[in-house]
Amino acid sequence: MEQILDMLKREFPLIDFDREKHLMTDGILDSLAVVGIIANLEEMFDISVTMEYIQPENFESVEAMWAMVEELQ
Amino acid sequence: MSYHSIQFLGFVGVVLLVYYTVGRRRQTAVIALSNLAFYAIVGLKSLPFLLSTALATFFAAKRIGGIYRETDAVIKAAEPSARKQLRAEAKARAKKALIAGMVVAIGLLAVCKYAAFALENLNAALGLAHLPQLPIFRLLLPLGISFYTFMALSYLLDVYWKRYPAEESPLSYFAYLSFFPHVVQGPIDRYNDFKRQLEGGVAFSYEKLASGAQLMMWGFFKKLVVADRLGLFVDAAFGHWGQRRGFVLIAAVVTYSIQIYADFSGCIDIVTGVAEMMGISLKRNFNHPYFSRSMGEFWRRWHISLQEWFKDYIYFPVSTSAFVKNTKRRWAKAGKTRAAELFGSCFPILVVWLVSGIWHGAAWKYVVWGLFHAALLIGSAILEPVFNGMNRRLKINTSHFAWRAWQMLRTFALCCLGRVFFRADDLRTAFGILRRMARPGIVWAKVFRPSTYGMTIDRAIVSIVAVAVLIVVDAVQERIPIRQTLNRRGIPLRWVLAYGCLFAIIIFGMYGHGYGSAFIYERY
Repeated sequence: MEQILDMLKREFPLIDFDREKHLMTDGILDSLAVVGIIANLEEMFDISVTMEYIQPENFESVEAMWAMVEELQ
Repeated sequence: MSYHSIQFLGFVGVVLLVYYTVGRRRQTAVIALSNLAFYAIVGLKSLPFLLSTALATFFAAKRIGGIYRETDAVIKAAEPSARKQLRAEAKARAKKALIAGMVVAIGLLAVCKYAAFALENLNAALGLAHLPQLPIFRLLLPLGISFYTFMALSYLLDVYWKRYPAEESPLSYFAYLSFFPHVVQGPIDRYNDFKRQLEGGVAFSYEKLASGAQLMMWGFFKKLVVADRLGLFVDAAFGHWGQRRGFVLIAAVVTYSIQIYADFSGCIDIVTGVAEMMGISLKRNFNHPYFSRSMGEFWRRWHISLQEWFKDYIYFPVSTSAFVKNTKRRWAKAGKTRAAELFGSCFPILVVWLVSGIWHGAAWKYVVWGLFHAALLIGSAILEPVFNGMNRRLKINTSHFAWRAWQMLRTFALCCLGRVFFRADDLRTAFGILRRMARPGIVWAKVFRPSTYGMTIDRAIVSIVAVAVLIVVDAVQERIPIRQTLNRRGIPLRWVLAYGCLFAIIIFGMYGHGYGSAFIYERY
């Protein structure tokens, strides 16, 4: 999970990922940002994020993203 | 029977009476029957097209659901090493059903809406090669086909992507797809949202009935008092654009931008109000878009349900497609990192806006309109760091009211520019209007004369006041939810406002013989 957090902090330095738990619901991340995160996750963990997984709840928080990655690995 | 007709009000009254008296278990059936009755009144010829799309997508999704049910049990029991292979096989089988359903739904839309346009362009190409022309056939454009096709596709794809299981009851699915408030102009609702609200039935609620009626009334005001009044000047200006120039044409485009907002959001308010009276919340479609500070924000606040549809079913699938991923990887390997990044972010936007343009109509003007917005969005994404740097260097306080107002004005102006393509009869006319808009020639003494806009003084005053009311209400709504706030106030104030709105519609509304017009988005 630390790897994801580091990547997010590097890509979006202005967002407090430790505290924000509703990144999609609160409109903090937009579709362009989600596509960028997907590309990074696929490269970092050698996974393929298919359309089943591209749902707001999988990108709400670092924990949600990590749970998705674990499922895809 | 248009949504802003007296007949429609009568129809809604009958539906509500039956809906709340038959018992909760039968409400879905009442909705389905009401939808059939609505189609029978509005356009019976459109019904076979709607039924074909409904049946094809229902059975395709049912087949996909069946395949997943069968294979999920097998996958669970299988060795972990074999699961990936089994999943891929199940997906391949489900894909065949998905494609079959999509071919019928998209095929009907394509044939009805785009066949004539495709043939016209083919004939133009054949003409250049001095080859014989093909006959052009024009089919009936079934009512609401662009909207219900998108809803059917969203259901089919969601089932395929396992977002929710396939519906077992054709009645429930038909009730959703053809739901009479959203079938003609949207909002483009999602099946799971709709179904969730009808589970267990809807109990009668006076608050919802009153709240829905208030929203309907505001929708009538927007359509009959604002949109149709402004339409008089807009139609006259665009109808004789060759004789006008400069300020008058600019005023016409600005007025059209307000007219289309009042017209479309007015319709959405009416249908959302009807659905609310039935205890069903439709997707929000507008969020005061003209207060947006960038084009990106504008498109997150205008026709929201369509933009979300494009995001979920075009933008994400294209962004994560093998084609985009492989191209980015190939370019990055060749050292073109920036180009790979740009391709990854710009290509899906381009595809979305090309589809959006074509979805709005079978004409080149819509393609150009789509490309115009794609260029604006791509340009602003690329240049954002440059603009931010400029703001820092020039020490601009970006949170200052004046700067925010400038951003809103700039966004509105860009939006108006795009509207020229939307409103003009064709692409040639659009460019002609743009050329004449740029021609000076204003006689300042005439600017404030209503006759310059083909209006009398009283009509001009009513139009200006109506637009001012619309702006003030929208501005207040940006800060507080008006209906919820009013509903907490005493009955006298609520009734005074309700009667005020009703009398404004009766006195100043454009209706009756020789007046009134269809909703602008009905034709899409």
